[in-house]
Amino acid sequence: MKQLLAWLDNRTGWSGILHEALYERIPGGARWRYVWGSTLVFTFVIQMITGIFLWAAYSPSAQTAWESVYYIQEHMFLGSIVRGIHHFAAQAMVVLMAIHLIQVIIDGAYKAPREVNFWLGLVLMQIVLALGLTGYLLPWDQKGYYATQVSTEIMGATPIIGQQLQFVVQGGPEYGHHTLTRFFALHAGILPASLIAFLGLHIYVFRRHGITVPEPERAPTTTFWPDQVLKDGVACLGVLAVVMGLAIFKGAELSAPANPAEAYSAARPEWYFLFLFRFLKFEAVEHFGLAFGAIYLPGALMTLVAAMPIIAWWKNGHKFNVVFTWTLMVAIVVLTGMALYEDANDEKHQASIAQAEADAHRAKELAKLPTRIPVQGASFMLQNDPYKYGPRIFARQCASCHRWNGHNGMGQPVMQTVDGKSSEAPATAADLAGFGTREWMRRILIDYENVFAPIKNSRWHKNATKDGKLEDVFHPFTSQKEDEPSGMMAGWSKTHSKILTKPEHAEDLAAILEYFAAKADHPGDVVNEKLLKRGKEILDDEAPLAGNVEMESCFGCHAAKFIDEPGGDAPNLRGYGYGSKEWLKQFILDPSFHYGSANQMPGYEGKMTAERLDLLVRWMIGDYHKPQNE
Amino acid sequence: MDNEKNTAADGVDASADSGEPRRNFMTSCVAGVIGAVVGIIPTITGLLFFLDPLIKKKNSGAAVDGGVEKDAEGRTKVANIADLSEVPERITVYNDKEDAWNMFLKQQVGAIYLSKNEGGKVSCFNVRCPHLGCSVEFRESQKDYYCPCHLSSFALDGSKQNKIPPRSLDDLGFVVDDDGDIWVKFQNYKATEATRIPVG
Ligand code: FES
Repeated sequence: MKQLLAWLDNRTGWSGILHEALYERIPGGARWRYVWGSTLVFTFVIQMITGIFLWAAYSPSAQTAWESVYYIQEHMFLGSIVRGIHHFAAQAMVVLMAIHLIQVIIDGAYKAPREVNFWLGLVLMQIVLALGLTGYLLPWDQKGYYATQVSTEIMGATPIIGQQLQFVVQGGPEYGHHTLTRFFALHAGILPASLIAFLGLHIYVFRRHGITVPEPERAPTTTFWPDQVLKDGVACLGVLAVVMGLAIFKGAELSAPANPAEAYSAARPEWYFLFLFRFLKFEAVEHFGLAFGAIYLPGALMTLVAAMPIIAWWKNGHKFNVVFTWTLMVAIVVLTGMALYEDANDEKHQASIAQAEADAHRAKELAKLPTRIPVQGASFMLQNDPYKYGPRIFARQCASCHRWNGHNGMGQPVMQTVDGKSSEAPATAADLAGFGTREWMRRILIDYENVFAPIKNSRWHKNATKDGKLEDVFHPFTSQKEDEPSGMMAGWSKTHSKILTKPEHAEDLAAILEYFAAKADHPGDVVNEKLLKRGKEILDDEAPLAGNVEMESCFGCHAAKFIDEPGGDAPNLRGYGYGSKEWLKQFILDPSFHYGSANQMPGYEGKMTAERLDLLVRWMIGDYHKPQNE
Repeated sequence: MDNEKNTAADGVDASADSGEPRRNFMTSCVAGVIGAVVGIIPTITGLLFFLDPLIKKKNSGAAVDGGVEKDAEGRTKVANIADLSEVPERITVYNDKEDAWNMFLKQQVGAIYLSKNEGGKVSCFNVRCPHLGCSVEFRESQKDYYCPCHLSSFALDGSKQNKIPPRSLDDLGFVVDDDGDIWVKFQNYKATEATRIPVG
């Protein structure tokens, strides 16, 4: 064995190299302040390891990036841990880099003869920041998508070559497949390769000049192995513990799949770029233009940092550098703090984040259904989710008159401004929560006037009452005139509520409701066949209620109208089932089809696309995958 | 110098007589262990993640909204018995295919040969050749199933007719419903084996 090693040494000189690497002299003894460079190399190694494994599962395209990251995160063994390590180690690297830089400046390790190595370090810093920036986009979630767009727009603001630069990096005028393939090539190929090359040079030049020792007489001279290695190892262990802890207990976020049509006002860069983000928000900075704030000024500061070794040639140059560094750091910390503080107190920002989190949660929930994610991608899947979009459409199109459980569909009150004062607006049409369900029908049958009571708040009803012309307009309330169609259903409800609410008719009422539930045919609703049979007897065959009590038939008024037979003043109950998806769609497009002139609601024909109508109606009747927490 | 290096590398405390600083054996051990730990943890985690495919994930095979119609056993409809004859017919089998995060509906997943003999008995074979996985073809002239890749040949009942294939053709389980529709449980088996080992 010894002979073999000796032979190998003779041919390769490995033991010399090893000796060179391990037994570097450290005058003044091993110290904790020397560990930062090693922890940086260590975190980079972690990134290489986890990065390559993630590479084996990641798929860079607009329809598969979020999806593959979701799959890593939610389905693959230890996926969330591996992604978490990669995510947090990247941030640890930025922190360690800042510490390393400050330590180098304070100890004067950048001064002659180490100028070149300092510059190599600055190049490495740029590469690491670029790795962070490119990596942020790869999951193709709302957060990364919008934040990165800011970066590429800034790139586009570069004088002269801006647009060309932006197009080349993005792979075109807009974000798409090639943005991801290019960012991925940068993130997993070009940048790490450059980093390795520059790191090699950095370490080589570092060894050439040796370690910078502030107090050589502090302790006896030692060597890198094992004394300094032990300290480095403990520091690395600390870094690893923090990163693993964050990966396990916090986890890397995967926000909602990127959707250019879905505003995301909470777009923020990674936290270590927040200071720049906040700086750009100053009015004074904006005044000078984007190129000034985002390119010239940071460029000038970086140039000043790069000039530090030269500045240090002068007397007091080093002091200037130290003061400058601390000033810059304080400015960065203050700006970052400001950005965080402002965001924490910005309700709109918080709401936007909450929305993205809810969307992300929903996307993951839908992706776990047996249908998985459609080939068009998770964003498409979410765009066709009634649970997500139904409430929004309702809030925009319906909530000016209607309510949903008292709110606008999205859980918010509907507000109005009267005489400069903001107050909650009264509803002017029925609260549609539970439309077409048994409960809805029960209220229609026995409490008709109350269901439509909000109509009394409407302008047309108020005007008609004021002018004493209520009898001339159709309205759903009890009429004085016996045979006036407007009030007939209210009248029916008044007389029959007395009958139907009697305990002996409870089962018959349930049977009638079952009949209409079957007509409405809401998805997922299970009809009780026995009750339905009885309901058919009562409604179709006009059988008397229990105890031989007669009920005035529904189809006296509602019968004649079939689907291809519009007009009339009472809704069609025998065509499309009342309250069903088709009935509701047709009703929203053209209320007069069912009600003639007896309905004040405007038709939405031509005002709503078929897709949006479908989302709205499916939401109203509960035709969507119900979230687990409801 | 050389001697010095070797002893140090072996972890033996080297005295400072050659001008080298003192090295402590315990320090070396602890440093070595910590170094190994910080290296191994991320590597092992990543490696286990990479071995994810070895963790058995069962695909329910149940019918999916908008997908292929299936019975409780996961069989799909392939043909009607009335349309079959003694001449085997090659039929494409469709199924829903789960692929990581996607579910591809109504995909072509394979093909079968279906035939009916005079007695009305139906036979159903996977076209995959058990030798190395090419597709067999029915040869009218020879009345056999023939694989052009390495010349395997199988009789109409699926039994192997030369020494090339390791086993006979893979017949697939099916049921015929009241309407005469044939429902097949499509399955691929590992090639090269004398016994049938299901894959996927
Ligand atoms: S694969 Fe069919 S004979 Fe070899």
